[in-house]
Amino acid sequence: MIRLIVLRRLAAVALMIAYLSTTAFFLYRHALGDPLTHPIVYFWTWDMFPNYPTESHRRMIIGQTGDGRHVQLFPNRRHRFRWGVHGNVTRLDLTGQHVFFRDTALDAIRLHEAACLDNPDLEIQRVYLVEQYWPVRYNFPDDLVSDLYEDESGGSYSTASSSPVETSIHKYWRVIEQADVGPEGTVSKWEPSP
Amino acid sequence: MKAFFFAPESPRPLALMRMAVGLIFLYDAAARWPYAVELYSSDGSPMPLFPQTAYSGTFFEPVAVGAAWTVVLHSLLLFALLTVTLGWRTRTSLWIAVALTVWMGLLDHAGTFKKYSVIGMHLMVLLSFSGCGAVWSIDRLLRSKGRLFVMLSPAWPRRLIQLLFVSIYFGAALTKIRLPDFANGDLLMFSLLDDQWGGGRWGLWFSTQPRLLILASIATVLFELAFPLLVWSSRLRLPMLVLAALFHIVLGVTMSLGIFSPVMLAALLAFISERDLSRGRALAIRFSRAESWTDFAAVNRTDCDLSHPNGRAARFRRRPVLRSRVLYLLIGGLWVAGGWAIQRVSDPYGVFGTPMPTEFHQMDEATVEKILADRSLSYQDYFHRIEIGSRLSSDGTHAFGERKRFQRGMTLFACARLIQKHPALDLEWLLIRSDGEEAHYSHRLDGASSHATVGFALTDAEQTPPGRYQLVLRAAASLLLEANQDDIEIWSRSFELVE
Repeated sequence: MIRLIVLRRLAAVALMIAYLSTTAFFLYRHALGDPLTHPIVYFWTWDMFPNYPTESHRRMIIGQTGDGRHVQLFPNRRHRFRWGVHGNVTRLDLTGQHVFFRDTALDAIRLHEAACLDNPDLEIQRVYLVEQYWPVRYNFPDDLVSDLYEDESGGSYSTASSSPVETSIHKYWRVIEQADVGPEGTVSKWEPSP
Repeated sequence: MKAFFFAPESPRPLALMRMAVGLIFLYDAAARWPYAVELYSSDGSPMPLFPQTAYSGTFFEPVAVGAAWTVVLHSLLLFALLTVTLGWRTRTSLWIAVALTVWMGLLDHAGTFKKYSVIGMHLMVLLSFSGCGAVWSIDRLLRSKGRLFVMLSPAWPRRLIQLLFVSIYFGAALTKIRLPDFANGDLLMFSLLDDQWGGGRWGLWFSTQPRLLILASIATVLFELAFPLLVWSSRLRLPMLVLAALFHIVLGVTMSLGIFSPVMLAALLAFISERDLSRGRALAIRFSRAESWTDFAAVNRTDCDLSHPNGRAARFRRRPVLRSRVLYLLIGGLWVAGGWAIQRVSDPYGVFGTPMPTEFHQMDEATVEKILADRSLSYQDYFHRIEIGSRLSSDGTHAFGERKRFQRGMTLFACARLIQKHPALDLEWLLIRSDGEEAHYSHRLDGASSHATVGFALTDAEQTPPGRYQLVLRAAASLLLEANQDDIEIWSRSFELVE
């Protein structure tokens, strides 16, 4: 029994040393600002608020069919999860990894191909990865933005039009990538927006 | 050092933490359970944190299994978190919960795995080495046979959680110190305005208060550095804990950070001692004057069995183990089967054979044309905020002092904050007198600069006589400024100059 107690104590000491050493090591690297690229770093680095966005965005995937019409490939019914302050942010909006934008497009094209039953007029010929974006100041509700900007600009953000403070959301679109779609929903080359 | 880590202590603070952590992650996992097929299965669209495409040969991209197995595993995660909360087969449940949280989390960084998941994972691992299931738990009910004593457990798991908490604060403070836009409040302001993780009504209001943002930002860093140093002082421990709790409550109210604040509040329980619980209990009795609290208070410090955890008391534990295991497996199996059956019947993704309409929304051609036109921001929208004042902050990011009425001898300062991605711009600041005379200052702002400032000295009575003035900002990409287009006038502000 005593041996067991001693062994348990030794195991606890070993675990503590390992845990504290790892914590200290990663804190030291973080203090130096020395980024390590191994995935394990994510489990030991406490870098909350590492950056901030100055724009909001929503992503969309558009496909052009053989007969020239356009269909919305994403968001679609297979992507139901939502997040965000207003519960309207998709996972594609949440991820910074571009590869998932392409993967989601290819999945959606395959789903569309399966649905259109080899009708060449309905098959996707070209796909666009697009993003709607706007400066985050347009996330203010009207009353707050007028308070803020009236105070700063005397009731006008632009004298050119002599209009009151613009409180409607200025939404813009940009094409992130586009590609021709080959047989069976394959894409050989993604072209960045010009 | 030996006493710090190995002193026997009451397991009740960690039992509280066990219940809190279990409940928080149960809520979090339950909210994602209807979406398990989409988030984690090979029939959905997993978004691994460390995909092979970016981390070639990594072991940190788990295998995504089919929809049925995913539902089974996610239901098992819910069961494990429920039994963690209830303290049933606590250690086993904690390990199952950790394994499945990591597995599922690594498969979906976009919607699931965040820093609070990692903190929760650390807490659950460390709790599994503690005696957190020895009290206020089903395990205790099954094993105690009516005895009132509580098994003491060594302090080291709680100490490691304390040190983890401290390192989190240090790490967060180091991150903020390194960011140039933190101390001037811009990081906090833009974070609050974010519609993914930012603020609700309170947070948005907060983001309109530049002075409060600066103070809150500096106070946050100071607090995150002070807490790890001061919480060990017996006199300052409770005030620091209250401050930390308030800090996380305010963070939770003003921002949409998921379960981050609840997880941190649960982790704070590592700094609570048995004496604090007794005080809290005494207060509760005083306020409620209820007899029932005496039952709650039946197990107190003097009732604790001071013998070693592996001593004589240990034999009381082993008898009902088999019964508990069988029941655990049985109820767990039923729970998982129930979860699978519900998803099988509802089948929102059509992966269990339910026909699912797959038609895609056909878009209006005018809308498509507008989308594909790929319009860039108007010049006005590159500017987030413009301030005017008689004083400029030392870092040139804010203007303070007079805004509408300036006196001879003052300097008129204007400070513009731009959004992060903007092209190189030519800026022109125009100071226009009431008789139409203009003074102007032009400069080029490169794409990496986030602020533009200007100052006009109001000292010369001939050049700047008393009266009404207007300050105008015009901006455009290089060479366009000369074109004098309407849309390059960004902002204007009138003010009065008096002697």
